[in-house]
Amino acid sequence: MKILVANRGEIAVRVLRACREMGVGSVAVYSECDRTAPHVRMADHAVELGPGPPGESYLHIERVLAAATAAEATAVHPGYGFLAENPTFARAVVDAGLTFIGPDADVIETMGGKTAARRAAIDAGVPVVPGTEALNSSLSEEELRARTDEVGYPLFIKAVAGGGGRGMRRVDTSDGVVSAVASARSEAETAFGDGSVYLERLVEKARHIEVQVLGDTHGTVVPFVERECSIQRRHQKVIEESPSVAVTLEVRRALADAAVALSSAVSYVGAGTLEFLLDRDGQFYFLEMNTRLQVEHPVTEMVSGIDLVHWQIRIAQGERLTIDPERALTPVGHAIESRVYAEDPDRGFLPSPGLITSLRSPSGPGIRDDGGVEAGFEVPVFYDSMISKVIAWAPDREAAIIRMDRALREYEIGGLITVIPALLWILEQEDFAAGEFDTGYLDRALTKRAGESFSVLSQREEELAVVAAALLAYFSSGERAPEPPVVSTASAWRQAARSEAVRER
Amino acid sequence: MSSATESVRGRARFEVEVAGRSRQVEVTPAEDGRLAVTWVDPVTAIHVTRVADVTRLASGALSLVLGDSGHASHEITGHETAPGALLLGFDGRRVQVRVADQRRRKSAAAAPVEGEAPVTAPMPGKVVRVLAAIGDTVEEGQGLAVVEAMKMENEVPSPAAGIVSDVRVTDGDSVDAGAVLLVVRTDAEGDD
Repeated sequence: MKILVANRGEIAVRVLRACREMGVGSVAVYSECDRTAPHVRMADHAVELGPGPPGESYLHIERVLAAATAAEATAVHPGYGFLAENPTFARAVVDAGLTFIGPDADVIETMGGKTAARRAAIDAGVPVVPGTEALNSSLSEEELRARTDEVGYPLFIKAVAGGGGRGMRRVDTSDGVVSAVASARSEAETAFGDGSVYLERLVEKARHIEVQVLGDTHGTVVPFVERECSIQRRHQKVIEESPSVAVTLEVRRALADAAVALSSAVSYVGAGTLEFLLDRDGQFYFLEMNTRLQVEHPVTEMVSGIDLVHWQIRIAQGERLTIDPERALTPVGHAIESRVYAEDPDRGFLPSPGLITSLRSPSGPGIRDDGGVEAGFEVPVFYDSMISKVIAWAPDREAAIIRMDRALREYEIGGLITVIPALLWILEQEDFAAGEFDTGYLDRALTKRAGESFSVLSQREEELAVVAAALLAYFSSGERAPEPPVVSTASAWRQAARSEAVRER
Repeated sequence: MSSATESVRGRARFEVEVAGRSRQVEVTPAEDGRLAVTWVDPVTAIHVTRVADVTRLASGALSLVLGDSGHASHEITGHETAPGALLLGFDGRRVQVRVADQRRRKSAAAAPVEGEAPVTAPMPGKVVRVLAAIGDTVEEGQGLAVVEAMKMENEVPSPAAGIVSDVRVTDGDSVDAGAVLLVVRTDAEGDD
């Protein structure tokens, strides 16, 4: 098997490491601006896709397939994001005679549509949030009100093709229903080219709990201990952990049973994740299924000792799952993941791409750093702002939090602004330490701060900053010759290559 | 890699602004190769002296051992984000500071033009939409352009009320951080 990894950044690095560990051949793909990215050098072969914008590179199906042909790949691992949940891509991979490392294209299609996934869950006997299927666009105002009254308030109007909160409206009473449905429809039409919407009751103070599964081609599905992903900023996960302090053994079993029932019903193959809302009474509701590897998969690996990417590849080779189900459901210790985004928490989490001048990742006992960048690399403006994930494992949750704090302080990223100061602040919160939070917790806590800086200095720190600034200025003013302009290696090489080309003409 | 001893020379003075407070800081080399950093604290008016054993690491970061603070050991990254603006990183914190060399202070940032407020890109990215045209009357805080980076769209607000006097970008343009997108005339009266 020779695997083409149709992705970039930390997840490409993660999958390529597994390929090396398993002695499987590998092919990296990259866009122009990723020429110097680490994943290019961690593969046996590397093929350029095209210019930086995703539509011309990582999202360009024909170019990815042409790269597979050029490097004689026999399988494709999509990672997450980009083409990972695109059924057209999965189908095209198989049609080209390659193995797609993931579920069947039809399963991606079914589980990718929110109402179709809901229907599959209901059929499998898995509880879903009370709601409706796609609303008929010809409903009268009275009929519409009857439907919303039936679901109950508060409720969400959601786009069938939705994602990222677009085409989504919250309605608290029957008064605003008609106009809210109309505006959700038009927003969904603009964003996704599909104006259909459905209704879903709002589960208040709910946690986001998800269950990892692995399914093989022989009909076996293994569920894992849950992940807790409630620490989110604007629906984007920031800190995840496993296990969840809110899940009892009984609920864990019930979640696992539900995950197996639904996965088996759709003959799920590969790694997948079922997302649930968990309310304060321990009742859970299926939300959606992600038919791919998730960003936060390492926390599951840390508490189970099972390598999920190895298993994705073994399953794709037709192997039978031989994981002991009890082991997968019984966490050893506690693991937490922090996502390190290149965003400025002191400026409303403004994206902050740029050149990394120096980098030292945290390490030592219990720490895993899944990164995709290094010193000298210019973080491009075109892609997601996540540059790495720090995962801390310890025998218990309290020790894992302490260890995460230590690791984040150890992280030195020169030149680039990241969310690390905000991550440290979250770790310090009493509610976080007590495990008292729901999916709205972080947004509420951030609103309460009212923009206060995450790097407010103590007197000692302020003194240190004065000393450091003066000394840095002292050294740089001592260098008589003007400093050479700082350019990334990518542009330097490109510049050199261009001059060469000009000379040859 | 250059250590402190290599670049030891005379004393030098800088104006250092941290946490919105400015102070005159003097760096004086000692005979043992260490550097003394002294200033007057702007709040307490107390004279502060810190003697540092300083080494520049291969990464460009500074390793400091402060002799008069129980040999406190620190590692600090510094990165110039604009002329005279440094982004410091230590112990999980990120701090923007300003440093002006006393001799070069006059040539600091170009003085802003009276009555003109440039609207600049907060980060590098792509202009998705320009929301105002020349001659438009705009309010302070009104969104004038949308810049996209890292899959996120950010509205760039007007820094002041006035009339748009120049639009320097169009949809689809790539811009660097700090690039002027539009200019708002703040002294113009709305008498058209």
